[in-house]
Formats: sequence, structure tokens, C-alpha cells
Amino acid sequence: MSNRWRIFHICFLTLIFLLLTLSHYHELLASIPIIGQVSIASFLGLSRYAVERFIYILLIVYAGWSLGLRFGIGTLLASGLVMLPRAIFISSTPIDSTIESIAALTIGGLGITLIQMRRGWHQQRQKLRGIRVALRTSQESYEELFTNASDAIWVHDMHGKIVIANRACEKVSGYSPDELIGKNVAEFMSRDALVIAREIRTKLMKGQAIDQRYDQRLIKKDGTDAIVELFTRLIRADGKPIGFQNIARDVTVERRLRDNLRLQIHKTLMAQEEERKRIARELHDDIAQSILLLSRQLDILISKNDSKIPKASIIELEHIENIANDAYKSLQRYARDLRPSILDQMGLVAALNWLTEELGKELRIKTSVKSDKLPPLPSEVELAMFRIAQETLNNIRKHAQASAVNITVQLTSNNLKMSITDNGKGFSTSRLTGDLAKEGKLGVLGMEERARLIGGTLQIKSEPGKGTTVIARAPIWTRQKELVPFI
Amino acid sequence: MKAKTRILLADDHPLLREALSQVFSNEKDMEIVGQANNGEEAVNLTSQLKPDILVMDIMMPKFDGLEASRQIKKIAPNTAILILTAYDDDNYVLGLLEAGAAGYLMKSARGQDLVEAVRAIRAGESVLHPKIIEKLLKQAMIKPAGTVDRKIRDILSDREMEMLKLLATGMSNKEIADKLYLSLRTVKAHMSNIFTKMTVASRSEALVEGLRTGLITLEDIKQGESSE
Repeated sequence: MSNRWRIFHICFLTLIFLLLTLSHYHELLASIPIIGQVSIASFLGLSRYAVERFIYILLIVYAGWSLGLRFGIGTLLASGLVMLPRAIFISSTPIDSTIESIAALTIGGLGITLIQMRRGWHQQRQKLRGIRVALRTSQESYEELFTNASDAIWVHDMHGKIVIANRACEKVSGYSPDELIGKNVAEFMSRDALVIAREIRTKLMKGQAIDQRYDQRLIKKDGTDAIVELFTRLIRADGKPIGFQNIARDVTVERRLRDNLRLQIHKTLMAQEEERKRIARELHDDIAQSILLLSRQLDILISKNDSKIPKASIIELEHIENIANDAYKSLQRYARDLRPSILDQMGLVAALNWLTEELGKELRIKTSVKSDKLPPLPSEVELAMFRIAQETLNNIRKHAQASAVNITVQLTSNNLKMSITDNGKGFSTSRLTGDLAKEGKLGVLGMEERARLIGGTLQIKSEPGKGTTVIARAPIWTRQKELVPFI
Repeated sequence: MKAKTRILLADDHPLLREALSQVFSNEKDMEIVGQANNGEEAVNLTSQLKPDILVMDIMMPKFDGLEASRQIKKIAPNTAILILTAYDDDNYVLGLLEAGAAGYLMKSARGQDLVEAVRAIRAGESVLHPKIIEKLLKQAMIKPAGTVDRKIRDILSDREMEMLKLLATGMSNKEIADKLYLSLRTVKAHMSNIFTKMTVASRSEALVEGLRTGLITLEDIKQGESSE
């Protein structure tokens, strides 16, 4: 209620109260005649005092209604204070008057109470209505969210039967939500996909939360594959598991692009290797041999005992031979850096030894290579590992400012593991391939690709100030099936 | 008159082979008995001609010098192999020596060095840097030892055993001659016998073989190091 009205009510109330009180005590204020009361009183057959008492009731109720409980009670008390003295001390019929007064007060009190109660009910009903509306709005919002979400969301029970599915499921699966309800999720999954699904299910049932999305393959209505990024959650009711909620994002296009990118990188790497091999061979076979021949012929010329060449010329020729020798050595070095024959002929460990010793000599740092006894390895594996090591050592040379480099090669059941550690200044790593490309660290991308090409993995651990460790792993005996990527 | 050292050349570059051949033919105590164009030819010609020394390029088609060395050591163990290599990287070289090479030289080595290397191998002298020998022997010890061949122990005379042990310490032929109060010629002859009996063709092979068969131990070698 606005303040102006309140003030009006207060004033009005006070005015009437005063007038009434004056009238009630009129004998004491004989000079002020009040005619209105008398006529009403005689009409109703009641004494005018009774009528006044009645009006007090009205005032009390009016106060309670217009100004609230407190004013009501206040007016009740004030009325009591006014009526009772008159009834007890001044009235000619004290008992009746007192009873009337008390009755009036009681009725007034009841009135206020009733008004309060009604108000309370009203408020409660308002609140209930508000809650119901809010609930309905929230439910509608949820339904709207569920139905229209851009991600496909569906819930299936413990056996895999789909209970609800939203509209987006249609785009992902090719089936409308109505078609989906009742089907079993296994219908949409290949054997490999089922393996993954079971693993996820087992993890969730054990109580392990899976925070990350994982890749999964689904078979669409038209028979083609869709690759989705899936997030699965176990739903419980009363603490018991009742089903699984899945939120999926169609990433088929993204993955295809990524695979294309990988294919490109693969092709580039292969082409690069071929090129290097070719150049190394040409450098060695053609040019180097020619220079060697040059050098040798000069040597023969110089050392012929019956030579008629003057001494001064001999010195010149020796000089030329030295130049030829140096040129030969340089060529050998270039050829070797491109495609070291030590790798092809002596194997990975010998090649790693060579790499680290060269680095150690160049930077004057300590290096070591420790290796398990290795069986003969497939040449692609040796080459990939070698290139990874070569790139890593290049990075160390360029950035690390390290004083010690260690390479360890281990053979476990059917995996080859190569760890390269340096105690340099380290760096902060980003996990996403995209980020690496952005940062210009393409060499690392190449290393990852090389590892992936032989079915292996690459891991780089580094912290600023704490050095770097590069770990490359590769299977030695390849499996028949291709492993579906999993988390 | 002493027999000429019979040399087989193997290199896939005809002009280089020609130049090599010129180098050796100028020497009176050496003759070229054949030339091979690739690894396979090298093996075949070696088994046919049984040269004293095979001077071979490491990089050849068909199979490279490494593979050829392994095969040749099986069919002609008394032919010493001198490898011409592009790299003198320790790791590389060790592989060569393990395959049975008697020694190695850089491809760019001077004619004179080649000639002297051939002579040294024939004489049973060491053509390897002591550090390489040490590495080689350490590596030989890492390999599982074959059964101790009693026969060799019995075949070698006491004198020859003594000489083998001195060989292990890294002494040159001259030093051995002085120590045992023998002439250089006698020492060389003994060397030749030792090599034949052990079916090897050079000092480094003898050392490796000696270690493998248990005739000498690392202690014998270490004695040499401490005395130097």
C-alpha cells in the first residue's frame, strides 16, 4: 500500500476515533452536542453507548484491514482503554456495559484475526501459484533445451534400450526420435565401437567419473559411419543406476579433415625421406666419388718416383689435393646428415651414439646412450626413431641450453621405448596439435606424425626450468586390427 | 724371393678402382690379382682367388662391404680385409671390425698410407688406434662367449701363446722381438703361424678371437695399458 493512502487511513482513523471517544464521554464534555448518534441509537433500540461500542469494533477492524495487524492491535488496545473506564466507573449499568465493551473488543480482535488469516491464506496461495508457474516454466525450459539442443542427447536404460532422444539425434543418426525410442544402442555400433562402449560402461558402473569426451563411431540409417564426440553419464534414481545419458557432437567432418591433414603430413614426410635418400646417394655416389678420384689422381701424380715435376709445383699440387680432400669430407658430412648410412648399416643404437657424440663434441656437454639388447628392428621403426631423436637433439641444440643429454632405449614385451632427456631450460607445453602448429613448432608435429605412422606415440614432458623429456613408443610386432582411438 | 702380397680390389666406381690399382701396382712387393665391382663379386672372387688382402669399399651395391666381410670371413678366413670407409665414426668402425675387418682407412687416405696399411696387416702389426682396440675388445666381451675351444689351446705352442699375450698388451712386432730376444723376421713368422692356426688374418681379429675363445683375458690387455 502506498504511503499516501496509509497516511490518509491513519488520519481518517484517528479523526473518527477522536470523535467517537468524545461522544462516548460526552457528559464530561457537555458543551459539545452530537446529534447523529442519538437518532441511530433509538432507531436500533439500543443505547447510544452500545452503538458507540459497536462503532469501535468497526474502527478496530478498519485499522486492522487498512493498516495491518499492528495498527489493529493498537486500535484494539486504545479502544479498550477508552471503553472500559467509562463502562466500569461512569456507566449506570456497569456490568452490562463492561460485558458489552469486552464483547466489542473481542469481536474487534476476532475481526483482526480473521483479516490476518485471510491475508495469510492469500499470500500462501500466491506463493503456491508462483511456485507452480516457476516449475512449469522450468520444465518447459528444460524440455525446450532438450528438444532443440544442437548436440544429440539420448538416454538409454541399463540394457541399451533408448528411452528418449532429442531432435538433434536425427541429424546424427539418420533416424527420427520416434524411430529411435525402443531401439537398442548396439544396433548402431560396430564390434570395435561396442568394445569401447563396454569399457565406458564398466568405468561408470565402478563409479569412476569420465570427465572427458571420447570418440565413438555410429552407424547411420543410410549405412555410413558418423564419428561423434561423446559424453556419457550414469543416471541414478534412489541411488540405483537406471540408465545412461549421452550427449554427442557430430565431428565426422572435423575428423575427416584431421585425417586428411595427417595424410598430407604423412605424404610429405615420406617424400622428404625419399628426397633425402636420393640427394644423399647422389652426393655420395656421384659428386663425392669424382672429387675423391681427383684427389687420388693428384696423389698418384705427386708420389710417382720418376716424376719430372718441379718441387714448387709438387707443393702446389699437394695444396690442391688438400682442397679436394676437404671438399670430399664436407660432402660426406652433408650426405651423412641427410641420410646417415650408419643407421642403415649399423642400426639404431649405433646411430644414436653417433648423434649424441656429435652433439656432445659440438656443445661440449655430457651425453650418454643406454640401451637394452635389441633384436633386429624393422627399418621404418629405426628410421622413425632416428629422425625423432635427430629433431629432438636439434631442438636441444637450438633452444635448451642444456649441459647433459641422455638417451635410453628400452624393450618391453612388444614395445620399443626411447626416452631423450635434457636438463635445459624447458618450456611450457600445449596439448593440442593445432596449438603447436600455431606456435610454429612444426618439428614437433612432424615427430608426432612419424611416431603415429609406425603405430606409436610421442609424449613431451617439460616444465620451464626443469628440463625436457621426449618419449617415443612404438610397437615392434604390429597387430592385425587397427586400434580404434580411445580417449 | 718373398712372395708378393696378393691384393683383391673391390669398389663400385671403376675410375677409383683404377686409381687404387695404380697405387698398388707401383709397389714391388704387391700385385693386384683381381678387381670386383660389387659385394657379390667380391665374395666370389675372394673364394676363387684367395687373396692375401682384400681392399674393399664399404658402400657397394648388391651387398655392401659389411655384409661381404661377414661372408668372406666364413669362406676365406685367412684373407685380411682392409675396409675403405667414408666415416671414421667410432660406432661405425666398431661395426666394421666386429664383422671381421682387419683394419680400416678413410677413402680419402693417401696412396702411401694405403700401401703401409697393407704391409702392416701382412706383418701382423696393429693398424688400429689403441682406443678403438679397447672399445672393440670391450664389446667382444659383452657378447656371449663361445665354448672355449680346447683345440686351439692345444694347437698353439707355448711360444705362440706367449706371443699372443704380448700381442694383447699392444706391443708392436719390434717390441715383442726385443722382449723375447728374437729377430723381427722370426716374430713375423710366428705371427703368421698364429693367424693361420686361429684362422684369422690380422692382429685385431686374433685379439677378438682370443678373447672369445678364452685364450686371453681382459687382464692381459689391461697389463699393456698400465705399462704404457
